[in-house]
Amino acid sequence: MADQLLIRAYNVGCGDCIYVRIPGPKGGFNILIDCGKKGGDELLKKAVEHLEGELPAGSKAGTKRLDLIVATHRHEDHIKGFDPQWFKNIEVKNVWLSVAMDPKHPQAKGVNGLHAFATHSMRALTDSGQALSPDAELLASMYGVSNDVADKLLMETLPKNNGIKPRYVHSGMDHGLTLPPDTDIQILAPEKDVDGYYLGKELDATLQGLRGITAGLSAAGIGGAKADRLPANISSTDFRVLQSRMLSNGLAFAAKESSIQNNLSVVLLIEWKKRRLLFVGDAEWEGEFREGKHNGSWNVMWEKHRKTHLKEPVDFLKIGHHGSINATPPPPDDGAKSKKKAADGVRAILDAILPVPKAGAKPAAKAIVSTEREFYNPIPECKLLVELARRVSNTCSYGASLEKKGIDPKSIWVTTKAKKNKFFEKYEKNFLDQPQPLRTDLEFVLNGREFVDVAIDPGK
Amino acid sequence: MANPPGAIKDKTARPQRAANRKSIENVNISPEDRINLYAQARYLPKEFRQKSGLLVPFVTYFQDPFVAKSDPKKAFDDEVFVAWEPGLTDGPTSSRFAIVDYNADTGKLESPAAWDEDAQAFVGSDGKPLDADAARSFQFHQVSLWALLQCALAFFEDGSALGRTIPWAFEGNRLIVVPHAGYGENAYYDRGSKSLQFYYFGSEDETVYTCLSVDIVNHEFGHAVLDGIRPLYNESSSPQTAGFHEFMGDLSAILLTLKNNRLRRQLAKSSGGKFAEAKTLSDLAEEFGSAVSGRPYLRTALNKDKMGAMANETEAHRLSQVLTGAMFDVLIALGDNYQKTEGDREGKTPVAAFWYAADRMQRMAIQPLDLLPPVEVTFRDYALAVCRSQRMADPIDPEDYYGMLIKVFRDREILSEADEAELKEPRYLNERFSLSVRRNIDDFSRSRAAAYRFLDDNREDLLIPATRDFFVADLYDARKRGRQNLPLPRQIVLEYVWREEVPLEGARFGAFAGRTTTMLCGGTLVFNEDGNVLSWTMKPGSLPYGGKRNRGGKTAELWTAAVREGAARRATLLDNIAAQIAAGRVGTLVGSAKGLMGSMVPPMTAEDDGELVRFQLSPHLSLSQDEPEEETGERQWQISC
Repeated sequence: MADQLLIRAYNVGCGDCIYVRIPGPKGGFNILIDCGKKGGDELLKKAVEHLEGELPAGSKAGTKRLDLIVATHRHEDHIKGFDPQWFKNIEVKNVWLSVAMDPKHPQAKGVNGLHAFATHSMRALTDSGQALSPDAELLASMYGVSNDVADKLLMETLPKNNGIKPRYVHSGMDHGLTLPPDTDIQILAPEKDVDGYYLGKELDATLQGLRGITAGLSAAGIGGAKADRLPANISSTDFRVLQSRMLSNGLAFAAKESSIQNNLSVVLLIEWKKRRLLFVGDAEWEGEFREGKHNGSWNVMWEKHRKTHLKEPVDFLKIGHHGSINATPPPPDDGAKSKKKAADGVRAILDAILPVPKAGAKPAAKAIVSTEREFYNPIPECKLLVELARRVSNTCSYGASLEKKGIDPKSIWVTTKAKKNKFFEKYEKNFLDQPQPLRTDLEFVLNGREFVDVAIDPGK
Repeated sequence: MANPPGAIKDKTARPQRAANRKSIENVNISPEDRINLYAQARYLPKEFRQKSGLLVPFVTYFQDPFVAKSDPKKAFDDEVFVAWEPGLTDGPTSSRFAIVDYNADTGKLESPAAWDEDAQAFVGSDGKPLDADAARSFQFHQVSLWALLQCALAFFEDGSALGRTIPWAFEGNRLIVVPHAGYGENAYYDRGSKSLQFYYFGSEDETVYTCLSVDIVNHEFGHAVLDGIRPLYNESSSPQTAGFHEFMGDLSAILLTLKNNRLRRQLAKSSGGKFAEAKTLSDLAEEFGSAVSGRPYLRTALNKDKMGAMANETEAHRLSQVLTGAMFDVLIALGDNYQKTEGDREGKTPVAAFWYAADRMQRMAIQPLDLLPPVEVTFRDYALAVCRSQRMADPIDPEDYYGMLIKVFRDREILSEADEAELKEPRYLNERFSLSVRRNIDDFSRSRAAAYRFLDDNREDLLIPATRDFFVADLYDARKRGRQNLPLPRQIVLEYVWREEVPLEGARFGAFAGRTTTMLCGGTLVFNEDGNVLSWTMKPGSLPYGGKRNRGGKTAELWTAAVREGAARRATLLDNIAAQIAAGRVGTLVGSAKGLMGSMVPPMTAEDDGELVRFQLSPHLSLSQDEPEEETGERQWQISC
């Protein structure tokens, strides 16, 4: 349908690869928001191949045109797939990266320093071969050397191959693009003052202090060689136990850093013919907004845009962080306590952008979650998905649908990890009989669909 | 020299004054002599111990707790006397403490301060004694910290406090102390590693070492002490028990800080004299408040919180403030009373009265700890123990401190009206305790096994169900001292505990639904050396007696009440666990062989042995004075990847 705007979430497991086509002359305006996944990259390659077939022709023979690539943030489940080889027949016109990825941005020195620090610590930890708890293992795996490669491809190689330079975007910037009529793109996050909003003075000071006092972590400290000698007044066993129960700054900073990276996601509000479409990357929420402290992206966006861009409900939400509970602000009544009053606080956000329809009315908005429960036990958080399903129209009761097709839900999550951590029993079973927004993983199981589409009609 | 009593009528015939007596000179105390004296040290006067080398002076160095947070470096030297031990060695390492100066960030082990036998002092890496000129080296820190802890332990073991040698909660007797553990605004006691760990933060020019903060060190040490004397408090999902641990930390910080003469002078100085010149105790309390406004563990004393308002509070620190505030009220009331009764005497200013009261608090606040139940303590339990302890120490109580205590606890809503009526009911100090089988105290207090037989014969009287096994959690003697340092009746304390299985059924237990946990039940009996029961407090289970000999009358009534209370405790336990799970407070430790991720140490962990799940308190880690984040449920313990 030529008149509709297409949003397509490719099934790439636990990752995002979202194609948006805004209708218009010359094949419209074609955007790819993220291309990554955790784990193997087969599905990504397939997605890019398929995407290539959907794009309009490029200026040279045999090429296709992609008007804009947006990499929301540097985690591998969002950028791993930007392999220049896969994109060699695609002319990319614009590449947008989060301003936090700009190594020269003066207001991102802190987060970039933190990133370097965390990377150094986690690599030393991995290299040391020390025993890690499963969660620590997961964290360490995010700082592998392959991430440096992916960064470089995105920041240098791919743009260079297309004769362009990446644009580091932040909230409030003009999009600077030639868009079809009745179209606008607002960049809602991150704020230009990256360190100020997302790192916070304290963390910044801690980082400075840590660097100053310890003059850089030595490999020995984090997990390399054993301590230079043993204490004489306690046994070696007591000493080992002591070491395992002291605070590891390496781990602490890595955990903090990975959360901060999510909060540096580029968040886009695409306005098209009176429709509002919100793509949030992996933006997270924290308690309440606090000036000068480390804040969640949602909190900052609410602080900055609640009287303007976020005042009205949206027509589409790309559910954040693969359905993690961290990435969608909570409803007012989920049982947890809140000090701040509803109107200004984090619990006002969800009702403002995706309100529950009044009694008897049907929801008009739509949503997609691009996800797979493979790497993180609680992602996606089905309780959250069920809550969101109350507020959108494109839902499915997967329990009933799977039964109709004769598919036993128990057969879906059967890897060793899934069985050990009881993915089905603990995280899916109790929610299958309730509607959830369309999920790329279950849509694939149900219908073999390699992508989930949402078509948006023009607004009235 | 002494004259027969009654013989002196004539003042001129006084016995020779001490000043005219000649000193016995040329007495060398050999090392053997010193060890002999050391064994009797507690019977020797303080001055003699100082002169004979049984108390050794150490110069220590600390950050002044009575300055604003903005100036944490302001520090002072202090000469502190620590009891000599024959085994003192490098570390410092003593009988109860081992300083291990390991930094987890750098992986470096700092050289230990070495004990120089000839110099009878700790020396630095250059071989010179560590004194004020030692340029504040890390070795100096090690000795300062060690000396402070030795004094703190002596404070708790003294007759004015618990009157006994107290154990640690772990297998072993040397508490490992890490003065420069790494970068962070943290300090904590950890049973798992048998350690006290102190971190440092700030910039290179302005490093703040938590190991040099008197109140921080004493707070964490308070946790170690309570864990040692009541290890089962660690296994609790009750906010009040966790709150009691925090209270104990704050109480230790306040009492130990106020006891030190040097710190008393610092406090007076820091208020610009206003503290010393305060006209009333409440003015004084206000001055104290401003002086400690930057210190989290001291300023909790100044609050007016009541239990009623805390009904839904689950955060241990906030909850603990009610009890800390109550004990500070007691301190002020004592001082007030003392000032009024002694005020006409020369020199008894409000400040002098305050110091007197602070000293008295050692008895009033610490001695009751031995009376507490072995499990699941509540603030009310402590309040009742404080009152009972006061009664035991001071039966006649001319100043009616008993009444004062009850009033303070009533005002804070820690004790109810019914409690007050019960406490004020006229009764004898010692009642004949109802027992079915009387045994000789000398026999059954010899060992836990013997004590068990005594308890077992008296299950029905002691409200222990017949159908459950139980164990003796602890058995010890204490020799406490009262007013004017006079001995109090010797106490023999016997603690017994059993576990009642409690299934966790329902979705509200999240990942633990379908598992079984236990409710800890038990009691503490305190006897005097004749076997009279001085105090009995207990936490009942919900099972009925179920035994053969069913006595009617009072015993049957007590059983009915106990079973009812036990059922209520069980329901509360389930509610507490569910609430902790919902608030996301139960998690697993995230870490490696090289350390833990601080932010991923949840307040409670679940220990699972395959059969039962036990919920344990984790060490609290941050000193940050930020308001705790609002509750964010399970989300809190997820890593964001």
